[in-house]
Amino acid sequence: MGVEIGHYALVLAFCTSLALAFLPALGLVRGRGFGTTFAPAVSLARPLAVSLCVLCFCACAMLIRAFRASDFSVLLVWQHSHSQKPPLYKIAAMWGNHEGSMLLWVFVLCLFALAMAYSQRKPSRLTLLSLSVQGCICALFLAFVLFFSNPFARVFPVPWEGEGLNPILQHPALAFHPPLLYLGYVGLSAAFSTTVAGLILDDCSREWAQKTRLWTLVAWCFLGAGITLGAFWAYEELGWGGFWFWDPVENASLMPWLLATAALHALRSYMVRQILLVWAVLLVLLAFSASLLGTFLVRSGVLMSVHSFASDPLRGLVILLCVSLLTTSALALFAWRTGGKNTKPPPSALPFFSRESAQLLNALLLSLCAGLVLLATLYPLFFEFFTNRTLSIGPPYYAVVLSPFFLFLLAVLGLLPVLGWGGSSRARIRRHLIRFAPVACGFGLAFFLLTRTSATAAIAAALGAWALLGAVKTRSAKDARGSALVHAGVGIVVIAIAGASLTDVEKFRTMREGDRVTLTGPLFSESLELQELFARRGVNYTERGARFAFVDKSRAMLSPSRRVYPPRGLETTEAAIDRSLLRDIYVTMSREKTRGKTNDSEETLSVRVQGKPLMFWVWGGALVMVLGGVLSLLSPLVTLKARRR
Amino acid sequence: MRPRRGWRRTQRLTAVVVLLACVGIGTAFVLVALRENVVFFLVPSDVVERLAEGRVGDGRIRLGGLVVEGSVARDSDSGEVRFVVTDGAARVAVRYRGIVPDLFREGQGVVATGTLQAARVEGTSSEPLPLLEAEQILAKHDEYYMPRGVEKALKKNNLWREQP
Repeated sequence: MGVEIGHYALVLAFCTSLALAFLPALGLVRGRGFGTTFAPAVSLARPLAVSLCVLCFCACAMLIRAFRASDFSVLLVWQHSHSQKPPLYKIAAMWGNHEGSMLLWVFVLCLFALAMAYSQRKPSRLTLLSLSVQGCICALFLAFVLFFSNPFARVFPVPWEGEGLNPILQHPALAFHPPLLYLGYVGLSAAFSTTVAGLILDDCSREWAQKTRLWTLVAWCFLGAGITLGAFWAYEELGWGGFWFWDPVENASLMPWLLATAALHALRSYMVRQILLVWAVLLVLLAFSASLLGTFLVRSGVLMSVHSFASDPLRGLVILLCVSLLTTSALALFAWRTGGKNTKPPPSALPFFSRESAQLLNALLLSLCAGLVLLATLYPLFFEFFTNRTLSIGPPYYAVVLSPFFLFLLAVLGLLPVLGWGGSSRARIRRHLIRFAPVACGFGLAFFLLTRTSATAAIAAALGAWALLGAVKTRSAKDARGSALVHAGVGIVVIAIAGASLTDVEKFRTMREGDRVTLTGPLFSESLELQELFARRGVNYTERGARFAFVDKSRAMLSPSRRVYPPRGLETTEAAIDRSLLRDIYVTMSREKTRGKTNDSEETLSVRVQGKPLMFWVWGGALVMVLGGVLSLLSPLVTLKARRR
Repeated sequence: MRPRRGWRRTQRLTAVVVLLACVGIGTAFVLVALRENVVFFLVPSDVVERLAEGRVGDGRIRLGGLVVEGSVARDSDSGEVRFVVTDGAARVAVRYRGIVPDLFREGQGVVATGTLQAARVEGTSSEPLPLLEAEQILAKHDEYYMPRGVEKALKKNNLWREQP
């Protein structure tokens, strides 16, 4: 019964979204002649947004209910759930698959429509029109969910037991990673709608800038949190010890983040100095287009990726059509409107050493980086299409191509406290350099002497410290506190990544009980002793692992293991991680029955111990960045007018 | 004193030339980086074909195929794993030092990234096989996963069976 209610709710939601797409816009058109808006159509905007959101919520809730009740008559539940699964993961299974995750995607879209409708006491023309645009996007994707990936499809005869969720997805970080990431991806839709509405009205005013900045910032925070959580999950659960693999799907989340970051900077410049308007508009449009592209790449299965769900060519084609329709129409509108009397900013001089040129550089380089990531993400696709040969781009490409730009941006970031709006004196810059550059260089040198790895890592660490110092030095107006915190987070993350990924300390051993392994790296030296092998039963898995103790008994035991999940007989590696502020010790193991040299069936225990210096600060720095974003969301915005007073 | 018109023109020209040079160098740089880091996806038949053409040390490759049943052996002293990968037509041996991923098992799809070695090794049926020294072994999240190239090759060799 609940499943039918969910399905009906979805159909009604589609109708509602169509109404939302047309009515507010119609009200505006009708109202133009009278100088006011056409009241009946306009007053419906809010109720429509509310009912759209409620209906979508109802559909999601009914799907979750089916998952909780393990209603295997629903195809999706049967394919992706199991009666033995812990309750949290039964709920998380709702978005652990194609159909369910698309439903969640659409729900978040509606959620933002609601937020847009109530972001103002009385909806302005801009808000009404952006609601219409948002309604269009909702209708498009609701139609996709209804007609091409219906999550409520039934299966008959009803199976006894579900097939089980891919056990690798059974992890708390992954339970929350998709919703957060979607809030980020889809949050950009609100900024997109507002910008499209602004372009249609040919009115990119302060109201437009404030609204767009608000939605972009909200999305940016969620996106950052979602990406971090995804990286954290990869680190904990994949058992490779890395946290970022330049997987196409990771790239798909990184591109909107880069573009949104650039858009935020451009919007700020526009609000303070009336510059970079065209950049801001374009970047906002591109950011949402990138997240749509990401949805296409992830959900269509065109890319060979560890994330992509089973592919279905028709679905991929339909998503691609939706994506290209939205993107091209927005860009066409942009091309038509830019240079119009209201979209064109007054010309202003751009002093070389100034905040303005730093902002321009930021927009330029970040969008360039996004473009380079896009190139490498799509290159294999095009290559395969034209030559029928499959290839992939190795991670070194990204390191080589992106690091110069990032390092350059970091260098500019450190100068920020002395780069004022409208230019700053060279003496100030010189003083800042003399005071802080030696500290950063010293840090880099110390880093190099300690880790003795690559010069690139040391340079990155030095520049990270330089950016951190710059952020700490910034003691300006209230509205800059958030951004200073974000910039400090950037510095921390860069130093941590230089430590964690460029310094590789690892040992691979086959061990027996009583064996010891010693791992020596920068800032740490740890000996581990294999104490015992164990086997136990978990909630819905069996586990075979090994217990390691630190020889100096300073820290808790580590028990890496392998889990087997009965429904499909799948195995996962559970890494054991000992965290501290300076390093992580990351232990993974496997126990296999193999044919050895002497005995035909002997069990070997292979152990991989990795030392990850400063790993903790990758998460710490990312958290600081997100908190900084939240802080600037909460703090009042000081715009040009307020500053002139 | 205002700068002369000719001077301004030279200045503008210089700016354009410098900009073009930067863009050119940047593009060249990116293309070189792209080319150096391209990893071709091959199935065992492709590898054999390549070897027949005398191209061995052709950079890193990504080998995809099915792990041959009964071919996985782990040397307990060095911790090396050896196995044979097939696409139905040809076979390639893989050597890897490390922990294999969760979904790695006999009869299942696997993708190994590494370099082809000049030496040939004894396979399970005592024929010399090409050897791939792997740095990374991947199996996918989903157990129904089959590398697309392998799917094509298997279908060609009539070894494809639909997953349940």
